[in-house]
Amino acid sequence: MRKYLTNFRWFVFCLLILSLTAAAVSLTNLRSQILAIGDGAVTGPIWFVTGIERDLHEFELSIANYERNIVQAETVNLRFDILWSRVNGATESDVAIKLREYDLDASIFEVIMSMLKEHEDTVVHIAMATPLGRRAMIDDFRMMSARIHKFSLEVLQATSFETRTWRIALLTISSKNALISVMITCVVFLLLISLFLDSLDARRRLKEKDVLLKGAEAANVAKSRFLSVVNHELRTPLTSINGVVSLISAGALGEVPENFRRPIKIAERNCNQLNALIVDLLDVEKFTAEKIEYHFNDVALQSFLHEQIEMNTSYANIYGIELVAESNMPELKVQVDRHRLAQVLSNLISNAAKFSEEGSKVVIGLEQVGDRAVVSVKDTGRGIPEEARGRIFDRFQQVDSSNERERGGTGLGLAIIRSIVEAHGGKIDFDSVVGQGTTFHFDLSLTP
Amino acid sequence: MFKIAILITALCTFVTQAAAQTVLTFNHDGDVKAYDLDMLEAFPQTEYVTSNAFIDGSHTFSGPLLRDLLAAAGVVDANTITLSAANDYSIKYPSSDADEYDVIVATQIDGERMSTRDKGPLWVMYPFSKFSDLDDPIYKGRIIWQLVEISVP
Repeated sequence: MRKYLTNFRWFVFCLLILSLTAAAVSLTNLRSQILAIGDGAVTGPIWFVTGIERDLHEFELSIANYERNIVQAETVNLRFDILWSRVNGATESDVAIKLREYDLDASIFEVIMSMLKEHEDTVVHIAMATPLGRRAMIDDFRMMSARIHKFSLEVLQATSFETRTWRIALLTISSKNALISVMITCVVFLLLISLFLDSLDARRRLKEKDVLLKGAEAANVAKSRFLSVVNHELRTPLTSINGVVSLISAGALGEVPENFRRPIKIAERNCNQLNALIVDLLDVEKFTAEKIEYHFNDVALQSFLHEQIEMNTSYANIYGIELVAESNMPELKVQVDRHRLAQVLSNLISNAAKFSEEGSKVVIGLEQVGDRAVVSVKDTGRGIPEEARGRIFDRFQQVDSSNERERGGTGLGLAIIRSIVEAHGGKIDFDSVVGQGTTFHFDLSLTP
Repeated sequence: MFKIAILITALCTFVTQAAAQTVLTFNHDGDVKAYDLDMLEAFPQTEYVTSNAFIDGSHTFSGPLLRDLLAAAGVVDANTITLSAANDYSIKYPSSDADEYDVIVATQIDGERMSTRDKGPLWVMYPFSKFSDLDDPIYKGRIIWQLVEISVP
């Protein structure tokens, strides 16, 4: 369903892009058409040609009025100059180009100009011109008037034809726009359908999530019950068993026969291992539920580390490991939860001890880097391969599960350590060379 | 000798009259003002090089700013002004053009006064080469040549 919906959305999206591109192209066409129509305004060829026609009539009228003594020679000259400027304008402007586009012969302007030049002297000295000369000039201008009138009709016809072309082009654009509008409407409709389907899908997924959430809540309740059982029904008898086994092992209940000692030692070790697993499980649960409370106090780190070495020595001795402190540890003060930090160190030391060769040393170090105290636990064990780096601090993750079980690990220790270090505002990491050893190190901020 | 003196006097009078010939009438709501070319050239002159649709190539046009002429006539808040030419062409357009663009009433082209045949003596000009938004047919119709009258209602 979701795959189809995604494909459908892509289809609608492409359709929308296509429609919008078509709309943009159509609007650009429309703009150019409108601009072309604008060029046919008062400054177009028809305006010039009819203007010349009018100026010719005005000039003829001025001569007629001059002959009837209604106007002076200056008026005739003014009308002549106005006609001259208009014809000159027609030849210098883009009117001639436009007329060629209409397939009309624009040479008429040159003919008028040569006629104006021919009669210029007569007009300038009109007072001295003979009636015959004036008559010849008027006849020439009248013939030109008839010619320009015919030409203006041709221009008008061409303009009308152009207007019709514009009309057809605009109608085509209008049809295209209508089609694009329909397309856009369809796309919007499809988008609405897509949104509706999305909403249905979201509702369905919400229901699924709700079911999953309820399942998770039920699982959480089951887990809490399980942990409660672990704590009360398993840990309590285990403590009793462990106590009894320890008493037997220590010889408090009488001397243990030689052939019983080994099984009792195995039972004692397994009891300890089981106890450690239960403690770790309960701790992880607390960290996950953020139920851990920290009590921060000033701690002198150097003496604290010496104390931890002392406390973990007997455990390390089980594996034949010697715990040593680096010789030049500085005296640094940090604010930490003493109990939890002890847990971190005890975990790191026990890991180091478990995975080191018998007879080797585990070195606890301390140094100052800027305003941070860096604590390290270095072993000469088999090391951690680089590919395990990403998951080593995750719960139930071990470098080598078979070996881990053999050595008594739960796979929870590093996850617990990381939570504690991060709660102290620090970071834990490790450097390791396979076959040579591992150094775990974490940092803590110094007390100002 | 006396005749020569009379002739010189007559010639001077003719030249003075020619120079003082009215080329522009400014009609502001019935208040008419006449300008000759010298009067127009006494205004602060603006000059720019521009091309236009009615002449080949680019030319230098100079003359007073239209907004200066409007201000001199006391026109403050006119919406439209009407410009008329000797060939009876007239056009109305918004006076805001005078403020937005440096519209001039050109008295000279390439440093020379314009004859009637060269679309003079006055040619309203817009700086087409400076403002691309003036490349619109509507502004072609506003550069009225052979300007003779400006009237403001």
